[in-house]
Amino acid sequence: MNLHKVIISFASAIHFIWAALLLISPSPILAVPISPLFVLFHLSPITASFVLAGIAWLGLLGAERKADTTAILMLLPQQTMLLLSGMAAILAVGAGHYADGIVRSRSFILADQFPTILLGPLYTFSIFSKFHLFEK
Amino acid sequence: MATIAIIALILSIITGVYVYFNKEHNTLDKVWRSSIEGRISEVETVSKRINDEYTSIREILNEQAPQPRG
Repeated sequence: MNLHKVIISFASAIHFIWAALLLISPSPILAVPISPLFVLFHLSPITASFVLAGIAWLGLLGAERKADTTAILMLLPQQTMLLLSGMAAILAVGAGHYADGIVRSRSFILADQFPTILLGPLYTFSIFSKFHLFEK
Repeated sequence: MATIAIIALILSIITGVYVYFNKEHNTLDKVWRSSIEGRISEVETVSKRINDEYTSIREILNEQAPQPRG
């Protein structure tokens, strides 16, 4: 299996799980990586769940597709969501509290949210890898 | 918070545009290079075959060449 498929599948799995959790309970809407959907776009937990599931599906379809323009368009929503989640995590570190208001030390939040921050650039790397941009 | 949304969107668009323009170029390069390398390999095979045939014909001609007198 190609590395880019592993990374994209991992990101899609995360988004699917978030989507499922939002259907079960509304409280994850204030989790740091998911909170931009509520804070910025005022999506309800149910709507956010469908948005995340749609993004995850598009990502999986784009990963399976050959490296053409349509694949780029399918992967960009997930890329945007991951970057948004990462930046929300950075904001939480800077503010010293989580999106639901819980105060923690910056280092605590950074330790907790570092995988979220890392996933956005890693996804970009996987897109470059899928389109063979690292090959000469 | 709105700022990060704009930044995320801009970064994604930049990624998409960069991949789009470099993807086209890279794919064509690879297809072209693969085609040229394939042709080179074919030419080398034919060239070797011609060389081998020339060598064997040369040997036959040398064997059948009239011997010098005296």
